[in-house]
Amino acid sequence: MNTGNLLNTIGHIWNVFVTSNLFNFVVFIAIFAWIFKKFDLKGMLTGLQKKVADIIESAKKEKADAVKELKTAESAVANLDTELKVIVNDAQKSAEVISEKILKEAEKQIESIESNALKVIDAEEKLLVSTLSKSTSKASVKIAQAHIEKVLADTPTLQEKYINESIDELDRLSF
Amino acid sequence: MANTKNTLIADRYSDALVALAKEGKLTFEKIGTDLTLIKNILAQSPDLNEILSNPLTSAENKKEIINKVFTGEVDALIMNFLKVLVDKNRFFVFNDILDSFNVALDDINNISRIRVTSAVEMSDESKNKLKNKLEEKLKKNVILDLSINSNIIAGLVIEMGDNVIDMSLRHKLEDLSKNIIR
Repeated sequence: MNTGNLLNTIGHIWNVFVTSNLFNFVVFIAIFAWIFKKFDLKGMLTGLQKKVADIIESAKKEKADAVKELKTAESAVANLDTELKVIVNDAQKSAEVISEKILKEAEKQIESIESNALKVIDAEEKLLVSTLSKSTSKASVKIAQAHIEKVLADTPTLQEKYINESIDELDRLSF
Repeated sequence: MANTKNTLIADRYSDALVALAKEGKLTFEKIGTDLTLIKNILAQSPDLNEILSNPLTSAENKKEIINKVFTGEVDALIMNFLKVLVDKNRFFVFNDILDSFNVALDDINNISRIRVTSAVEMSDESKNKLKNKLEEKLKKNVILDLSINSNIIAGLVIEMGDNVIDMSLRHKLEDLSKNIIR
């Protein structure tokens, strides 16, 4: 075989080879392998896989927490009536104590006011009695004075009598 | 009423007049008469009193006025006494000096002047009785200074210097009123 024929044969084989699916498949694999190597698709896939696994784990944990919280809430709700009763009971007791304290204070204040009022009334009574006594005594003395003046006017000799009594009174005084 | 300071000043000048009488240069009566005359003249002429008491008027003018007004009216020694008052700027205590002199004169003569107030005029019998009683008690000659005040109602109020003996009916009524209130 000559060189020309050889070349034609090689060309023919090359054409068959190039146009065959196998060739395309090999090229595709080569490109895919290059991309796989270039962009570290394995690492990316592994990362994605880990992320998904983490998300799933986190979701499971959240679910467990939620279940726990639900149980706590259920437990709390289960004791709510009792707690409410205790709170109401305590409030009632506090109210009773406060009410009793207020009542006692009020009673004390009433007693104090009553005592002060009595004292004021007593003082006013004494003042009134004193004022009345003063007024009465003043009026009595005025009446007595008017009477004496009338008697003195009607009986001029009485003036001389009082003058002499005053003179005699000097005997009882020391100078 | 004279203040204490004036009284103290007046007492010193009064003592000088008493000493004058004791030395026999003038009688107590003459001094008393002359001082009373001067007091009356000053009372009748407030302007004269004002000029003689005014510290702004010169002593020489005052002495000239004294000479003109009192020469022949009072003894020369009394005129000299007035001039001493002028020199010492003490003429304003003249009336106090007279009062002090009268008190001193009363002491010398053993006289006690007693103010007596009655509601009506006292009879002569009562006056004598009171005078004798007071003289007996005080061991002094008593001169009564009588006055009438109907406000005392009846009885007597006797004042001896600072002492007051209130024996009036008004006082007794006041006491009664106070006792009733207690």
